[in-house]
Amino acid sequence: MKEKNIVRGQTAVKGESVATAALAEQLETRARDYMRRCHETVPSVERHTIWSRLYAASERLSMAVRDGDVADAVIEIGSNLLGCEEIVVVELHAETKLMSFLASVGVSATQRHALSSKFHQIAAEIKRGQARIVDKRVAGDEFLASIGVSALAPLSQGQKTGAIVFFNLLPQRKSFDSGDRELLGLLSVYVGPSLFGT
Amino acid sequence: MRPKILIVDDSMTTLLMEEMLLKKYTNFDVVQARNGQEAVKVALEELPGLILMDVVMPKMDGFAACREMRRLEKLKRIPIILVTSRGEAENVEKGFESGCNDYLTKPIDSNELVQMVNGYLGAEEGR
Repeated sequence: MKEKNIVRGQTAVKGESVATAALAEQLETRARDYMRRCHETVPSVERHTIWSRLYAASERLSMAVRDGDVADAVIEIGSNLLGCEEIVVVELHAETKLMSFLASVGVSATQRHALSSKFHQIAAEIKRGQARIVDKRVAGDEFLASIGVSALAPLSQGQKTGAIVFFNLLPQRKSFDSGDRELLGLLSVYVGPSLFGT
Repeated sequence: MRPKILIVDDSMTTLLMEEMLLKKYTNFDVVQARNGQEAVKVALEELPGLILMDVVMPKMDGFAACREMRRLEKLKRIPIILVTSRGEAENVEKGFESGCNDYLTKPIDSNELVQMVNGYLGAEEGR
């Protein structure tokens, strides 16, 4: 069994600012909305599953924004809600063309090297701006597929950019699905401002 | 009094999701613990009808907590479902050896969770 060894990076813990409070409130509002949808509507168990995951992720992120442990929360969300225990959160530094690893779990030196040695390609993938589930049969996904990435959620806030990179899924999961796409989208929208902007 | 379900996980994310689903699809009350040691304490206080417990946790893992619960007269008959990240044979085997009744793998599949919970606690009771 893989131990939950989260490698902590350079996530700064700061006192709560106006921006932090505003972001946490946005996430709490989303969490309440997903909770309301779960309680008030009767579409299907599958839909409720997606909403309950979005609720749990929003709530967890709002706590993390206030506690200053956003990168660790991302790892926790990825492991528990997406079934992936090979995750890395990176920040790209345009001036130096270097990558900082803010947090990671289960990622090998080879996988890290594959990312850091391809700064420009990763930067280009992030520039595309949308959370993506990688499919090697799809044109444009060849590069990420070639280094074993199964999904990528781009992060940005002002001039700062980064990504949450997911490698292999747990054996019980064959691939990411449409519900995962919504969760990846949520992470992509909120984690950048949480990590880089508060 | 409605039976309670004790959910045990060091991940707040998992606790939030499990609680949401259990409240939506069952009528049981939910209590929580964040590690195995706390789970034994809460179980003794609350005497839940079912325990849903993660395996990898700080202080006391799910296997050890399971063994401890099976040693205690008040807890030995409570059904325990272990929630594992990996459903590999050796972990499943180890879970059953420690005294669990069943297991689920993460990420939690809602249908599987609700069916299993209702299977142990009774669907009628839980609605």
